[in-house]
Amino acid sequence: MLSIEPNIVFYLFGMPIPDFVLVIWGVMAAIILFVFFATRKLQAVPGGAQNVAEMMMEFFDNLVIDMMGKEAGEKFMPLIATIGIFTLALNLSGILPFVNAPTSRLETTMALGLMVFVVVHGYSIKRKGLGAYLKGYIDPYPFMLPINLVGEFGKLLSHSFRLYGNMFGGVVMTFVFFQLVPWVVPGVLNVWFGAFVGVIQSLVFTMLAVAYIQVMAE
Amino acid sequence: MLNPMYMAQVLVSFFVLMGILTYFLYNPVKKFMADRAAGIEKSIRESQSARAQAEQLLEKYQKEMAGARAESQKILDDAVKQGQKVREQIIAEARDEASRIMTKAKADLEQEVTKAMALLRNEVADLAIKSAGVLINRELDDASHRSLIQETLEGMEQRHDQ
Repeated sequence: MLSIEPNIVFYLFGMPIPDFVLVIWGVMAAIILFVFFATRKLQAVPGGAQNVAEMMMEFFDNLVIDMMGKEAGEKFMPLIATIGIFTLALNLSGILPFVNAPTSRLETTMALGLMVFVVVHGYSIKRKGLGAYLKGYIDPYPFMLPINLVGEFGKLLSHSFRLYGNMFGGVVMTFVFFQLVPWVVPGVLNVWFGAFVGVIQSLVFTMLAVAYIQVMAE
Repeated sequence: MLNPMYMAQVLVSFFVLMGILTYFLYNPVKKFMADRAAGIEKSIRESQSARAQAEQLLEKYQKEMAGARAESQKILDDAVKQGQKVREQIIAEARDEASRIMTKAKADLEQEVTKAMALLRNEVADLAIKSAGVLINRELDDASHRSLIQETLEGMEQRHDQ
């Protein structure tokens, strides 16, 4: 149940596919299936799955437009909404029996954090220009350059490790309690870390991504 | 250690999901919601316009109703006044006619009374003459008789009047 190295499930064109990537694909399939049913026949008066889809759209639309403005918000909405839906679904997958949330693997959260990091700095260069972007690292004084650099990489690490730490901590706690008192207590803990902490951490991860993009673009 | 291959697999999965969601969820649902919002806005504008038109029509009809009511009241008042006038005219004419008839009747009556009185006087005179003639056997002439009788009758009339 708990291992530092991921278990290789199978090889695809010679490439090892670990268990948590397989869970990611399963979660993706579930999301795609939901989206298919939600948007198959869009009704003027929404109900069921369409209602949930519209609520998600409105939530992420409002989040990015409120924090980034209309122009940038509309541009980044697909990215931010996908980060939110993806991390939420991955966190919630940990509730399923014998499934560890893929976000309890550092590879998952670091990959997402790195992607956000690249987007943040790429957008900043595009908005401000390379000169102004680089000048930002010696503000307010040139001797602040190392601190600013560490600060930027610190954002990447804290962004990735926050989600990973919370979810991995949940897995460890559940595992420990499973060894001590099997079934009931671990089950409750599993739901707690999967549902409550999972929702909160997904929201935090998404909002931090928006905030980093917004702060670096200014 | 972090395995870059696994990270790449996660990233590829993420971007595949983002592409699918953009194509099947974000774009169609966003367009659908925008179209629906535009439709609702259009319906609201149309209903507001229809309401304004209805209010204008109502105001116009109320004005027309008030005008028609005033007109009908004026016609009614005129008719009442006209009726009153005709009534007064008819009454006045009737009074005049009655007065005229009464005057004529009085005049006719007086004339008839005068005639009857004259006739009666003549007859009484003739009768008295005849009677007196018989009694006195031609001692008085005709003129004296008439004068005497006239005096007698006038004395009778005066007594009668008293």
